[in-house]
Amino acid sequence: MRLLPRNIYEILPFPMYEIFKMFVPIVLDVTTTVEGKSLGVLGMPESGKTQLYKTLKNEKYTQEEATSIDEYPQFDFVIKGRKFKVKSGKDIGGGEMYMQSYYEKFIKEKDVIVFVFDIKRYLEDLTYARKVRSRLEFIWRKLMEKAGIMDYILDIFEIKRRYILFASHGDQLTTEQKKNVKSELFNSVQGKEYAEMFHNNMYITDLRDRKNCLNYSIKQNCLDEYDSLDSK
Amino acid sequence: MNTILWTQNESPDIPDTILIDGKVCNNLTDSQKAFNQLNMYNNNLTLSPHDRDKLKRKYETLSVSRQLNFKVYSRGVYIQGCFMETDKVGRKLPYMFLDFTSKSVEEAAKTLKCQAEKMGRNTNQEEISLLSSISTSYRDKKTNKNKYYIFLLILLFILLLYYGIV
Repeated sequence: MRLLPRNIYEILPFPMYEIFKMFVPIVLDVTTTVEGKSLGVLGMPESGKTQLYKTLKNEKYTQEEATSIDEYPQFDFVIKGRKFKVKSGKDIGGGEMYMQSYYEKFIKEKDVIVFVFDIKRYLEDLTYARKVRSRLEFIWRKLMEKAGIMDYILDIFEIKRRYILFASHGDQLTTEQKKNVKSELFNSVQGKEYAEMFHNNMYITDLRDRKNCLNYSIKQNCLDEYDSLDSK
Repeated sequence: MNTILWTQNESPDIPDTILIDGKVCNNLTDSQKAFNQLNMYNNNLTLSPHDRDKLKRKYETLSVSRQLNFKVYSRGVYIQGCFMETDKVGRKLPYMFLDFTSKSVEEAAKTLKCQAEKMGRNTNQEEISLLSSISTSYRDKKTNKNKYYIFLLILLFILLLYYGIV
């Protein structure tokens, strides 16, 4: 049973919520640091974690080698005249062993958690789908353990979330799969606590599509804008 | 535990392989422990991302792995890179190797080669020789730096002695 409200309109009736929502980003902008955010990209093997980094960095990705551990330096990206900064970090592999070694560490230390999985395999391979759900459950549990009251408030007000789900290989879905993909996904996690992750923060995309990836990343206000190019 | 070698397999459905002291470890708990230990040694590696970019550009013909890196510790050597073999989507298989018995990259690379062959994997010899030469130049730089500091200290001592006496 859920004690806390699922919908914000249960707390603040229209238009109170809309007014509140207008003011919170202003307060957040004032408190934003210029150091940038740290990104923890977790996910299934061959799902496109390295591709995502390369897309954000606007670098060409050639699928030459699988990843073990790859350190990357701090980088910036610009979208819609806004500049964002991502702190240096580690690109990790997707094997099972990384779960124990890195998932908890990343959830504890990183500002934003990104989880990537191959949507085509999710729909076609039951074992793969089960593995994705098990990892998501783990992430959700750890996120909730770490979450403070402020995280909860920002989350239910849909203002700032700490996680994004990228369902990659969206371009490889058949027309039939594209039609039912969302309902199939939601059905597969029905009744699970972590189903909220699918409902609120999941984007089905082709990770090579830079514009989409960047748009999705900033849509959740996960990354801090530190310099507005428009104002110059 | 003297050596740990981790590598990914051809298919993501097959769990990664861990070799402890040259033997395949089938115990999940031990494998995980060894993997965690490997990850304690792969922080702040010798080559920075910028260094690796430069290397990749300089030795384009050698197809240097973008993950190629190493670190020499007071007790052991850590090396990471890619084998020549590829997975089913054509990506080179990565490895991480930790050798507590070696004192240099060259020594560790020899052990790595032997252990990899046991699994039917081959290291990129050009890449390994490159790594050895880089580690030697780093070592030489470090030694020269140490010699320079010792020289400065002696000079300072002589000056102090001279002015102290005068």
